[in-house]
Amino acid sequence: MIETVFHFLPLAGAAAIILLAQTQVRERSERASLALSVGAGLEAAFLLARFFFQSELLWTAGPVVHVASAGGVAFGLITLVDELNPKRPGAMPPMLASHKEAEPNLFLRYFLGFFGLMAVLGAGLNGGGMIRAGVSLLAIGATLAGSVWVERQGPLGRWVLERRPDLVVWSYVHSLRVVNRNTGSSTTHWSAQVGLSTGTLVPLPAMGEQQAQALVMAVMERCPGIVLGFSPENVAKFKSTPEAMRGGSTLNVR
Amino acid sequence: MFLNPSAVLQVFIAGTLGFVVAPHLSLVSKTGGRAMRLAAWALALGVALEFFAPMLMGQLYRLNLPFEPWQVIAPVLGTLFWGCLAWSVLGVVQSAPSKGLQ
Repeated sequence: MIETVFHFLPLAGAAAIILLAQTQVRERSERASLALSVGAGLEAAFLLARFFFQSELLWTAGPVVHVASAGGVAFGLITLVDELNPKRPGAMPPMLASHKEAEPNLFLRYFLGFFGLMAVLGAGLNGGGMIRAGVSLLAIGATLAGSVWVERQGPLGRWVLERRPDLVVWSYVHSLRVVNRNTGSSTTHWSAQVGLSTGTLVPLPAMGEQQAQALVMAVMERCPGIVLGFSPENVAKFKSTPEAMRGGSTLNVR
Repeated sequence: MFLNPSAVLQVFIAGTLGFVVAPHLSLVSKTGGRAMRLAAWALALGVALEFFAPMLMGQLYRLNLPFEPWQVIAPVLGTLFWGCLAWSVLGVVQSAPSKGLQ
């Protein structure tokens, strides 16, 4: 009896998403509302079907259904964020417009995908069922493709400067020195850090100190009135009330 | 665990939501990003309990509870996961006024 009650508990979460999609999201974005409703609805239908029909087919299809429903909700959220924040008029400073960040880390995904493939094949060969293993492989592939799609929407730094420059409150040059203990050699990674009023720090990677400083200046050109430079006071302020940081500039961008 | 496709899939979904989707939401909504990370943690906790803590689960089964422990733990984590996704939708919605209000 208690298991039956708990079986239906996740329905509450899925129902909440459908309710929000239809009452709050729909007026803001039809596309996002549809994706959220389909994603959550798929999971709700699957939960109900699994309770009423004890079918091998449902068990086999489980991984694809879970990925499709979670993917639908994630797609809906990204679409909603994009449509709520359209590109702002006004040209981006050339330094920021031409700034490129590293491509999505495909090596890590291939590496993880290889382990996924081994796990699925291993499970299939050890009596886990080749069809279920194939379905899992499909689901893992869809998850990897989805993560690459999200990252291909563009670097986060450029996204925020193009669409929500009003959120930027702080920027400074940041350097990270990494020392190799075996060889004694060191590498310094430079970046311009962009602090948002939501309390998030977004890095804009640079080739060197001069490029990082130029990036900070370009950020200031795009978002006038932000706080510049790193100091313990700025760190404390950013941690406590980031939204109150707009309004004061200093010349020391370091 | 490494021969279990279900565990691998859950780790992949948790990683994608926590490391790829959540940072995107964090740009405009602190709540949205946090809720998405929490949803990813709920998935990861499910994998950890099911595949890395067989001793703990064994102890629970030995208690002779009037219900099967995993039949209760899994739906609770599932509810946490879907609840956090709903919370993150709410966070993003609240970060911007509706078109009618703009």
